[in-house]
Amino acid sequence: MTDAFREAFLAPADAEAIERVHALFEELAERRPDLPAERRGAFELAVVEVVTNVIQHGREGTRTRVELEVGHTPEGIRAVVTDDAEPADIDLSATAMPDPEDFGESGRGLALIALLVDEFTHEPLPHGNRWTLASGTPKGT
Amino acid sequence: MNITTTIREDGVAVLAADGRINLVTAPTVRREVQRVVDEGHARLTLDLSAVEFIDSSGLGALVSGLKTARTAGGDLRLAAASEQVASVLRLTNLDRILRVYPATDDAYRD
Repeated sequence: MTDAFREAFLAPADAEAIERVHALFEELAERRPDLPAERRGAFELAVVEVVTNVIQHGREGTRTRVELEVGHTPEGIRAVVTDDAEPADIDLSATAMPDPEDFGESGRGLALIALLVDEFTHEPLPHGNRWTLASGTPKGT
Repeated sequence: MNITTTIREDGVAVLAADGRINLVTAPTVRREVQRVVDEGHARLTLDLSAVEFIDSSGLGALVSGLKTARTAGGDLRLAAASEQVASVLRLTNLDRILRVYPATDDAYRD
């Protein structure tokens, strides 16, 4: 029987926040070696994409803050990212992967997250956004 | 992340990166590709063997580098991608425009 893993941080939305995401998942890898590396890696990338998105769309002229909470139980892994940036007006169901032949340099993040996790939702808050990511743990792993 | 560039005898520039290519380090990749192309080397190979992680910001830098090299009449080819990098290239369909070769020596054999 393995224990649940729960870890969180609150930080300014900058390069350092990305480092903290990686550090948190390194901690998860150590504490939960039962979680397949590939699945953990996919989830880590999805969270990095969300935090990167928050950094890039932060409130102009102010310091956006980002809070990350990651929990892992035998049933699955779940992350909640909360920011205090401008509430985003986006429809995640309308995000599509850009055509590679367009040679675009951006616009892949949200579409990529949808491919990496089982559930990805966004809720605008009165003073920010809440992004929730979840993946089930397949039976037998 | 660091990039070490070596110009081979056949003129191909091999850029060996390490660590993570993300929002923070992607500008370094763009700048180094531009610098190498400006010095007259338009055929580039990006050695990814020591790159452990790439995200969509990093992929943007690879597409940028590809365009920079092609505009100068050359190409940007990838070599020795880890499973993480190869998988992200596949998921974003970028493997259709950025070919990954097993090793740096394979990239311009044709």
